[in-house]
Amino acid sequence: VMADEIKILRLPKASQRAQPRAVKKDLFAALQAAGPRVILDLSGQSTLNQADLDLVLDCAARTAGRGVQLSLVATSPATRLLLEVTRVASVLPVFTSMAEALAQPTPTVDPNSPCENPAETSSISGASPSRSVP
Amino acid sequence: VELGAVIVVGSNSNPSTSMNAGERSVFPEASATVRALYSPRRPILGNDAVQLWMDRVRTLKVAGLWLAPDDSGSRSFPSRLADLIRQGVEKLLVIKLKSYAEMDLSDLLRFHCEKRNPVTDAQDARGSLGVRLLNRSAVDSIAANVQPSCSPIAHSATHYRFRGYTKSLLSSQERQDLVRDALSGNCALRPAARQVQDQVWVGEGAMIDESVRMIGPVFVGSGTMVNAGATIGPFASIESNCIVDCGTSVARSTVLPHTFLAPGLLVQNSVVDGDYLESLESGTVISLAAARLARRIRPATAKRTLLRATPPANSFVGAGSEAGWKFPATNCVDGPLAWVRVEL
Repeated sequence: VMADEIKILRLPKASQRAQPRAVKKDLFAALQAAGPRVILDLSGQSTLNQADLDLVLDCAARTAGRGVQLSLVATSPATRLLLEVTRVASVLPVFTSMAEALAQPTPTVDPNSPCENPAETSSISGASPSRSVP
Repeated sequence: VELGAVIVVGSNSNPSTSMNAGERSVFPEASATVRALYSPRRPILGNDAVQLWMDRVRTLKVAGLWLAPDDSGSRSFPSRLADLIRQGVEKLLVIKLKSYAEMDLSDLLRFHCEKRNPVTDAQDARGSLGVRLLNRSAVDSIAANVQPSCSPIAHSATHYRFRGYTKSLLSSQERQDLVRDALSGNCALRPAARQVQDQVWVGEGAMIDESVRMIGPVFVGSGTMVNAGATIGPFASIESNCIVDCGTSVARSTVLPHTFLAPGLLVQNSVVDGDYLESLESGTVISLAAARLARRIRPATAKRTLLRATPPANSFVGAGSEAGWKFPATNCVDGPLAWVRVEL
């Protein structure tokens, strides 16, 4: 979904993702062509599993360093709490509604900047929701 | 005066009995594991609430002390109380495990004798604390009316207003408040562990990597392992036999026994029990299982993990670990299935 310079990507519900790899591929392709601002809409998710968190972190990794601001919309309190516990919320802005996310100003991007925020990028890599339990 | 005491103990395995109607309405569909977050039998800084009440009862000259299953609303409960009366008990102290109260029970007894009412109910500003004194006549009356609603909990009573320190054990927020107060020295409860530094208590056999940042006040229970780079505190309680993996931060929170926390997590203002986390700010309860962020570990699992781990040089190892990674049996067992007389 395009709204001016903002690209909105909706993560389908887990139950509707018959082919997770295809979803991931489509999502990454859309990210590749995105402008300065991308909103990943998680409002279809009542909670997040390991694959969902991996996908969010992959998206963050792919947008970081390209001057693209990625933000998340999570309407479910459980999803927001999971994003806090996994520290995703401390490196990506999380909004409780799409209207709130759209109201945020689009950042001015310096095209010569190699990485918007290297510290945040490394923090995302450091988050470890995908680590297995013993 | 022949005084007897009964502590009505909820069970971890049947946690719904320890929830009030309000809590049940909050999580009508919640699994037993979620509801167990509200069990009053969950340890508080290594202390068992039942044991704390038993210690208070022992200060009275009681003829007998019994632990009873939580069936105070059933028909059999009044008849069991009547049995005690038939054994010669003149007054019965009945404590339903729902609160922590720093109560002088002898003062309650004195008040009860002075008022000469058959039933005295101890209350704080918010209502009943679950502590009642009953005369023989009250028990006989209850036993004669074998309706569940006539249990001692529902009987009309004179109110003994307790103005000392109390916290509800049925509320996660109040339990965390109790943890905070105990760690700060603002109540009489103390962590059941050795104080190794200022405001840092560590239980027997706990193992904490040297790189772990401990921000007091903080409690780490017996047999718990905290791995490299973790940050614990302030006002954090990691109960017994837990594993907190690398880089995870726990602040203003309680991690209940036998819980594994995955690496890199940020746990704040929460209670974690196995794979469930409750936010104390929002009241939201989430499962961390699907994201594989936490899980319940059996004591044997924790022990195997600890035995595999080689203690790094300079790591702090809790007292008693020299004896070989001791895992003392938890003192927070399930409630009794039948009435149990406690040796005094």
